[in-house]
Amino acid sequence: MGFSISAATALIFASLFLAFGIFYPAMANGYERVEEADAAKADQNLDQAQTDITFVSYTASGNQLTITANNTGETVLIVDDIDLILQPDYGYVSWNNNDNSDAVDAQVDSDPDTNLWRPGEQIQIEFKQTGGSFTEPDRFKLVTAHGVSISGDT
Amino acid sequence: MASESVSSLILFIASLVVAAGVAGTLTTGVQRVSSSIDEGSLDTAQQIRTDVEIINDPGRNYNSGDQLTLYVKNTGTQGILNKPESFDIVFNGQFIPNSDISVSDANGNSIEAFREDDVAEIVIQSPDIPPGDNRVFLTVNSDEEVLQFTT
Repeated sequence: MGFSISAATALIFASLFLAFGIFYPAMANGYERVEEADAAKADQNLDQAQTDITFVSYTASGNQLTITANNTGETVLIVDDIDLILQPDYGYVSWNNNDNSDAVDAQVDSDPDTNLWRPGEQIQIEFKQTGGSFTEPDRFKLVTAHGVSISGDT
Repeated sequence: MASESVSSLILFIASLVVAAGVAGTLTTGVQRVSSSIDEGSLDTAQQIRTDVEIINDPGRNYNSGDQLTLYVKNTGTQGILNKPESFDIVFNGQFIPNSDISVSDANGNSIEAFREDDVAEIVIQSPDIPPGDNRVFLTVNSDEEVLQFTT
């Protein structure tokens, strides 16, 4: 009688160990995964809060628009990731900074090759209409990383 | 004497059978819960990582009768697949089925998924923009964005 009780108890305990062995890694992995995502999100929010751009000037001459803005935040912005929306006529515009055949060119502190727009630096974005008649858009919007943007009437 | 050992044997086997049943049920249950937690945490992590912004200019005057184009920038750390199923859109309270949405990369690249800082160009083919105040509600993997504009 005593032996059968100990055998049954041993079996139950073994299964408890097994269950814990299955449960613990799943729990730990899951927690770690969510924790990592949370940390990434917090990082992003911090970067977003530290990102700020300020509008300086807008000029239009001939078939070319020039928008100048300052990086007044604390984060380094990537020029290739900047989006320009000129409406109503042009929709969405983006560019590769080193591609001179593009309709859009960007210079950071007079440097046309850099891809970094660092804090305190000024970016000059030139949009050239290639082909077709040029109509000045009513509004422009400049969007950088984290969705930080400036917009205004032309 | 012999009957006693036989009954002990029966009791022994019975207790083992019961214990094995309990053990089996316990481990199966725990296994099921563990795999749910695993999948749930994956979903939760993806939802936390997903962040998008509608970067349309809300100050623009839209023309009624035009098709609405949404520019959606991926500002999170989670990729979003380049297909209409990734975006749930409610336009003026009306759900837009996937067949009425066309999704492409705003830079014209042919890409599988929108990574960080990529912009999706979403054209709502139907309905057209009605005159007056309009409201678009966009949901991407539980991240919700609203665009309100007027014609």
